[in-house]
Amino acid sequence: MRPTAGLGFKPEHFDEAMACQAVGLWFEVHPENYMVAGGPRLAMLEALRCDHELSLHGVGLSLAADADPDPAHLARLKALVDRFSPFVVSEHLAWSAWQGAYNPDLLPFPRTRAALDRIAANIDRTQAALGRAILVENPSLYMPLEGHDLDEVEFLLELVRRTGCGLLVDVNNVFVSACNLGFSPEAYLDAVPGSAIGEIHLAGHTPDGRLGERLLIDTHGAPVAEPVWRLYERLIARVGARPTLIERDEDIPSFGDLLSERDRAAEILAGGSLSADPDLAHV
Amino acid sequence: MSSLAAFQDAFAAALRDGRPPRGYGDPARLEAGMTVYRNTVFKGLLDALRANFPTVERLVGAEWFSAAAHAYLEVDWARGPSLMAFGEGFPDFLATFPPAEALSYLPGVASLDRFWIESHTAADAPVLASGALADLPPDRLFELTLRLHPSARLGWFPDPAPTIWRLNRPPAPAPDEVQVDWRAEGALVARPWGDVVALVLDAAGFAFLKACWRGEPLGGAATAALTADPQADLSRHIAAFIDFGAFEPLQSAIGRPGP
Repeated sequence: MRPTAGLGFKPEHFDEAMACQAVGLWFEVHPENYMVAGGPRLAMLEALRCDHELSLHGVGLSLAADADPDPAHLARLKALVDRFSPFVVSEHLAWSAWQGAYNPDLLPFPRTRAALDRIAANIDRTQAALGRAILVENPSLYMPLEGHDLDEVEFLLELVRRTGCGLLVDVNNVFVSACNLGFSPEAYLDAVPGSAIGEIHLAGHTPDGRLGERLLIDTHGAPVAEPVWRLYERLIARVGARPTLIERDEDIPSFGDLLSERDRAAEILAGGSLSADPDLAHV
Repeated sequence: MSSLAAFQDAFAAALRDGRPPRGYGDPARLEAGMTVYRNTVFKGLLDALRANFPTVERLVGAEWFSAAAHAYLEVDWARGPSLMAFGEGFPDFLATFPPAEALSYLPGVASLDRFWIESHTAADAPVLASGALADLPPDRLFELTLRLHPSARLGWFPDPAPTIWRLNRPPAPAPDEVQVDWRAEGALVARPWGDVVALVLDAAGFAFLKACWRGEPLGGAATAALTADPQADLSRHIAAFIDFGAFEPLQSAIGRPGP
């Protein structure tokens, strides 16, 4: 079944997820939560995988650190890829592990040419270890760092050109970064060629407790905001359908509520011409 | 050092002390963003500790737990992205944490929460069936080695931490008021069939299982149990452990494939 709109899998929704017959529904998980020897977590994912396509969306590879990806982590990721045959494997344009300490967040960096060389090499290593291409996701940004040589889209497209990776475009992250750093989210999205896009993320954000709407935080703790839906519709109208995920990690509502957000994305996808850019063979 | 590495050094330090890294823009403009990153990182680590030590949190309350967790982050930090592993040192930390001094059982409860995670994520393996020993002649029985199930974790505590833990481990509702006999206890935590389960042990039961864990045959394990308590009812203990699902099947215990 062709994956259309999917949901981040929540173990508390296991029974409903298993029973759900929505056409094209797929699930995404963080592989780090399944890097265990055995037990109910893996058993749940096995059961879910029987009837649904799966995406592994990593948060721990730390591709933007000035260090090689941890070979033990790559080996565990490879074992999960072999076991679950996900239709897509993705990671972030960010770092989290540094000098033996892991910071559970997706951290920024100055997008220099040297950083580009290092990250391209890290993506190469990852793809070689996994034996397949990955998608790389644009981060949410919160501070106006100085010292960038390239803007974010240029940087991402250069990674695509050098490594053959694809892009996971998180429309909410674009909206959040655009608000926080003061650029046009439409102009950002328009600069991304459809041929590079393998997946799309949608999520909700939250205004900062102190600064309000001037600083948006990518909490995944609210429904997808209306301006983000409009950006998404515009993007799909331009590039055609792409597997799209509704992400939710805080204040998790009922499965039914998540499914209705997911159905809204599926309707938009059905309206878009299916895969206007079918040259996604590398994804 | 590369400029990227220098940035990561500065940013990682800033996550700990809260001051934005110098030389990457107007500090006043960077500060609000630094607060977001710092809050997210601390929340991620705190949430991991709460998820990994739910019984400790229930016993001490959210506010006390949060203070203890923040103090713990002064001495330990996650080392990898699988946050289930984070907090290995938390039980020992609680044993030396001055506000926990009156709660002597708390480090034991924290150890049992760790046992739960280790058992929950251990390799799947079959279980020795009830009655599997019934057909064996008694002389062979004493030479037999029973191997603990790979999900089994075993501990001895100077207080009734195992009973307190079993009564309070979420998601079971918190007990209203409990009478606990104040004595040393052991615990066996394992996942023989899907769910993690636990057994509170007396001295003989613990000595028996500890000998099995060391790889001693049943004869040696029985001696260990009777040394711990000469009155122990051995056959009752062994039957209870087998019913609980504490051991691997004999087949794999005898003919274990090499590495």
